[in-house]
Amino acid sequence: MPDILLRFPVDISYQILSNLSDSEKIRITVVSKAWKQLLQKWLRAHENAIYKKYSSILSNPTSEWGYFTKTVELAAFLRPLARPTCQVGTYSEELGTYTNIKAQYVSVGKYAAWVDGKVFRAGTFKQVGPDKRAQLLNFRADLSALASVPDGCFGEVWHIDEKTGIVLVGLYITVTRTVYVMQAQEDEQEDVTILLGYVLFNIPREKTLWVTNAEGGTKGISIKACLATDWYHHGRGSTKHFSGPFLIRASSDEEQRTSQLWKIDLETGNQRCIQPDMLGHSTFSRSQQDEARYEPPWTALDGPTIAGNFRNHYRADQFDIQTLPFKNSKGECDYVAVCYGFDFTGHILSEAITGEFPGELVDEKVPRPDGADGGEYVEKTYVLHHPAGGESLLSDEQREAMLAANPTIAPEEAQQLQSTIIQNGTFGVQPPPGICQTVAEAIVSSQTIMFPLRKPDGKRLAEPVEGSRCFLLIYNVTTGELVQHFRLPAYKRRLQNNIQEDVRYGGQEKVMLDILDGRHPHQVRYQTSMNMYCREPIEAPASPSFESVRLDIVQYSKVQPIVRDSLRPAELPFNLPESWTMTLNFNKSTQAFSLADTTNILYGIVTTGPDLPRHPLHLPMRQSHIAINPLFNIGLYNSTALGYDHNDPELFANLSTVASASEGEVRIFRQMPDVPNGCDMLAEIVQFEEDEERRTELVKERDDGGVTVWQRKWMKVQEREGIYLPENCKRIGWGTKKCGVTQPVSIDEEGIKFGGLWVY
Amino acid sequence: MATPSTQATVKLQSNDNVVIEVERAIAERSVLIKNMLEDCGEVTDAIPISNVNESILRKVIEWCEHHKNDPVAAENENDDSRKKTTDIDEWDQKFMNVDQEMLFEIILAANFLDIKPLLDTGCKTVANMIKGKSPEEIRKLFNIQNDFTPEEEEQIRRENEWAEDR
Repeated sequence: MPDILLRFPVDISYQILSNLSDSEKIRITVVSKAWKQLLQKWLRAHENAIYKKYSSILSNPTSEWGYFTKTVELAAFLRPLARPTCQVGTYSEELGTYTNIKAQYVSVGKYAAWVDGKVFRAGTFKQVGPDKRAQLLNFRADLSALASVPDGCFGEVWHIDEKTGIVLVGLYITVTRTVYVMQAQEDEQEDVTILLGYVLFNIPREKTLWVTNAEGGTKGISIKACLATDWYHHGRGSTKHFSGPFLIRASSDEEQRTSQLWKIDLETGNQRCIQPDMLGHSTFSRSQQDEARYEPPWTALDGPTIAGNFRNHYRADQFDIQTLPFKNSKGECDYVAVCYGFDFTGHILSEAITGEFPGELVDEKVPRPDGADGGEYVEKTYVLHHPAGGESLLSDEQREAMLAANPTIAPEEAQQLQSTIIQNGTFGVQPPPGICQTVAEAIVSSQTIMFPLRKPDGKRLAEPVEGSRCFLLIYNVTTGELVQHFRLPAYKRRLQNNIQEDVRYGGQEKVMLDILDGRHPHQVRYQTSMNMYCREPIEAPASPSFESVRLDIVQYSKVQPIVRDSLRPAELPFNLPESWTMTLNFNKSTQAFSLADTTNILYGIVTTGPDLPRHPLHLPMRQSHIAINPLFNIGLYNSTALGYDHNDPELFANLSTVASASEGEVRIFRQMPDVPNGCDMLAEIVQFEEDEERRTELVKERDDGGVTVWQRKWMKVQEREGIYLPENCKRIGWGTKKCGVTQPVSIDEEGIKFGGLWVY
Repeated sequence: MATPSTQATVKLQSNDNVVIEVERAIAERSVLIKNMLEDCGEVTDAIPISNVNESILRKVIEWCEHHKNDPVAAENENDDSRKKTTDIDEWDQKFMNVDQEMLFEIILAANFLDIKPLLDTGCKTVANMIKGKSPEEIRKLFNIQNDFTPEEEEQIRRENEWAEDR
């Protein structure tokens, strides 16, 4: 008599099987031939559901049992990630368990490689059928054995060639230096990562092809030799700016660093400079100014100094590079695209740089509803109110540190500034009666002290601006010539004094907005990195003479105290992503480039948690996709209004019939119930759509008689999806001290879709 | 369409001709009976339950009595919600602690009478009997003859080795 499972009508048998995991289903096929046949029959009846479940692995529905088992095996290998930062779930043969590793996992075509700690791993996906990945055959070796580097080195996969399976790995070491921190009790230790060199490895042959130092020398890698020279500029080169075989490096000239375009010969490891000064074009004359290129020798930096803020410095320049897919008659790529971003706070620059992009949305045009617009712009840079009066707020050491951080301040000027502080007690604006800051609150820091706002003639600016600018640069890789450059729409805000508002309202939101606007005296927003992505060429370009490709650029900014002190405001650990997406057209006959359909999106994240006040980091202009960490209760703020005041009764007077401000703008997501044991969070992709019924308009009359209208949009979750390693692996991420966002999983005209946010 | 009935009990007749009187509300845990009663209005005769014998019918009625106050699942409720877990509450576990033949008959009866929660519980019970057991244990439990040759079995095991500890 058949056993219980086989005696049931098939739909009941299927229901029983539905309570088993796919791995269990596969495991029990060995019970009997009849059971195996039942499971194969089950697969035929459920092939569409299986395809939907494993759509990132399967290319089409299949009832082939072998495909199914390999798919389930691969899915089991690629675990849903508890912490999506740069992590891949891998199986440890020694431990017999699956673990997450902190590594940048790179997969191109059938090849994959990553470095897990000191272990280099690479592999080939075994093809089970057309376009089907099933099994990753692993190679692994210690970096020390692979590249003859000393212990303590680590690596990052920079590039995998899809055709040959060669993989370029950057080799690094982290050293520690002591930094002086104003107002801190003790010096702090700061880790600096140095690029030591490269190793090229052939995955199919499982063989190291060559090892070079950072400059392409083949005499081996010596940490001692590297540290004995001026290595500090390697801070620029330690970030991967590579698009095979082209590389952006900083020059080794200590006095006047330049950013250079190099080519690595992947046959030999030799490096050749193509363009010795990528920003030599007159448009970037700012980059030729002394203060933009200045860098003290590292020996001077390896002591008391201000740590970590490179504003107004060549280190503040951000780059990424992509080889453009347009090929010449020889089948070679002639051009690379470079995205270049810089911060121009405190500089008055030519319109060529700061001017408006046609059609761009510039924040400064949006008037603030609190009436600040139309008021007089006064450079009131000091928040300081010293109730005791007479005491020096700046110690000699502090003043020296200030000067070290920005040598453009003359010592006598700094003394004069301080004297003014001492004499007046308050600056710019008197706090309202009854509000008196403590000495601690009047902590010494001023954005303008650290980053003076100057005209080229040395005079201070009447209308300083805060902002960043992103350029798209096209270089000919044969001649090194900058053939074209495009200004992309910029985030820009006029600096305004709102110290009075800070004091009056004391609200976190105000404070945060001031940080973003560059008006906050203690903290700054500055660019930290840029990434560019080149999609597949567009099959049907706008014109037959065109070749076209979509480019996506993501720029991350960070918020950081200008002067680290023990009383810094609440930690603001998030990177702020801003993206551009555009079509780059290449006219084959004229060899000219043009841009179309450029979209700029600035994202913002609101965080709340048991210990966190609400932190709106920015009010996004457009927003539809962003990843949420539900465990951390991160919500989304979406509004076209910029900087309105929730405490303004007039502003919200007509909102009594809709949501109140207090329950309004933050969408909170509760903790997911099925967070895996031991995981900090469950990563997921959340897709939002606007709840249009809840859209409200805020109207306020301006002094000039006109009205300003803002829209407040509510977003609701349209779809949420657990994260598995996608087929095109883009799980690279980078973190701050507390948390961060992953590299985008996808970018399109609707926005960025991130893998997730994480906390650690 | 028949007028709604107010009768308090209904009679159910098993396939071995035993008539069991049961509260209508309890009998209506079965969607089959509920629809029948709604269609026919007042039913005085025993309703034949042709596929279920007395012992199984009494067992099913026992389950329905215990669960008579449970919310009725919506018609279009997504099956996925039931599939996510094989947890079974304590009473149901004891209820299903029967020999395999009776378990088989209960599941068939639940399917015939269209009592989805009971069918779910029965299917989960069988699934739980399979979960975590080695193929040998499963064969022993269900009295299954291993009809693979040692070579065939070894090959399948080798192919599926990765799934053994999942």
